Amino acid sequence: METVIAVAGIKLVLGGKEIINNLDLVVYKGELVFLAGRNGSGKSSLLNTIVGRYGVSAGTISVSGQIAYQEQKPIYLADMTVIENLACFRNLFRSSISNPKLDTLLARVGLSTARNTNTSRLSGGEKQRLSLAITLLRDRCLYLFDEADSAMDPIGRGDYFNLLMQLKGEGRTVLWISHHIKESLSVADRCYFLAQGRAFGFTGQQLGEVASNYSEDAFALLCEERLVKY
Amino acid sequence: MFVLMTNFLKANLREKYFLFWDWLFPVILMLGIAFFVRGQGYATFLLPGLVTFLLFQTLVYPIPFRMAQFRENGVLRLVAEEGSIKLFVISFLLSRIISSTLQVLTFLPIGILILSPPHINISVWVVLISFGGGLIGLSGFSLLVAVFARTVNSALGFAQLFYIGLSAVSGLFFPIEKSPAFLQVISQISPVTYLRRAFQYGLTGVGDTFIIDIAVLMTIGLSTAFTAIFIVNKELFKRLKP
Repeated sequence: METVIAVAGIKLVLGGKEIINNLDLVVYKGELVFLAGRNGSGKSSLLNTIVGRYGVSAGTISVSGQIAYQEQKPIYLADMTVIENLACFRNLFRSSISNPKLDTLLARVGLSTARNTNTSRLSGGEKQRLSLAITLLRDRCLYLFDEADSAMDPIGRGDYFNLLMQLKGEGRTVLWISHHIKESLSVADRCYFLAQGRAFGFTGQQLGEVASNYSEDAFALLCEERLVKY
Repeated sequence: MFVLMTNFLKANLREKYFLFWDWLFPVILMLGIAFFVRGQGYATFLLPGLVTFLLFQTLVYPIPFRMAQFRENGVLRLVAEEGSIKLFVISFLLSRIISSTLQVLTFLPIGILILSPPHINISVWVVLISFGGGLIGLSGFSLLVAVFARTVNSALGFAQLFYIGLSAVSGLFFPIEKSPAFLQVISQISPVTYLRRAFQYGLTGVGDTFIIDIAVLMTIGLSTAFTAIFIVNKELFKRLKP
């Protein structure tokens, strides 16, 4: 399998605090990989490191192909409508996507009805969908999503995880962070759990077992078991 | 660029803060002043100062405010990393320049009508050159302010500081020649002083330093614009890029 992200033994120190220590992570082409972990475990820092915003003090990171990264905070142009935002970012990204395709993109993220709505009137979940659409304007082989579903309602989350499956169907690779573990486990090919500055990997089979008989406890136990073994 | 520029223009018209300060405040200000000085000699002195004041206000607040908002929202970083930051900044500046032009075109005749200055001698070309010089000078200056403003609050703070400070020392509302000597010296380093003088010549025919005023204004304007662009480049292209 072709590797698109290979993180080997990295160490990240921010503001004198060790965030990541000796972390290994591999993502293969066409995979959906879920990154779980408690608040402050270094998940967002890891994504920021993968996209090159933070420099590591040890270890190596190699990424093949271009990345589109959606940050935790929705990014959009204030006081513009949804469609105006997409039109502006299409220009800024020098994307060749046509106007009808912009509408298709809006439908894909479930924002068709808010097409001409000013961003100041969007809900938190709708702002995340808009930010998602802006991310998808970039035709990339690898997408990183940092809690892109955090403000979405259950239906919105359903659409979001369907979208992840669609991206996989198109041969794209996705690495995402979410605190909606059940939904994430149901679509993930593999999962990494971040704790103590490291990433503990779970195979598809283990995830399948947890997802089919899902409970937060089962996942927590599985993670704990991994940590104890480590 | 056209799509970006028009959408920035529309965004400015949707922001209540800008709507008030760009379109309502000038009318209130002129009406308030006209109540006391309409048709008097002071109105002749005041008109160029008011035009300068309004042009200054339409640039020194919105440019740092929006740029800080783009920075805070993460838009600047996203555009710097994945898109064309030059296209973004130029489109935004052009939208502000168009907006300021529309405002001055609207409020200059209204100002003449409301204030009724007794001595008006308009030279269209001089006004146009002064206006162009003012746009370049004050846009560059405002962009420079925007570079140092990290947050919306600090942008408004910086803008307020320069707005009040430069308005006070540039003889917009009183003859600077009659002010204390130290104020007259300070006024010489304010671009607003030269713009006011150029407008005074263009609107009333008073003054004999137009060429020097425009030359100084353009020099200050272009140097601040280039400094701002250099710093913006350094900040956004190098620092924000991984």
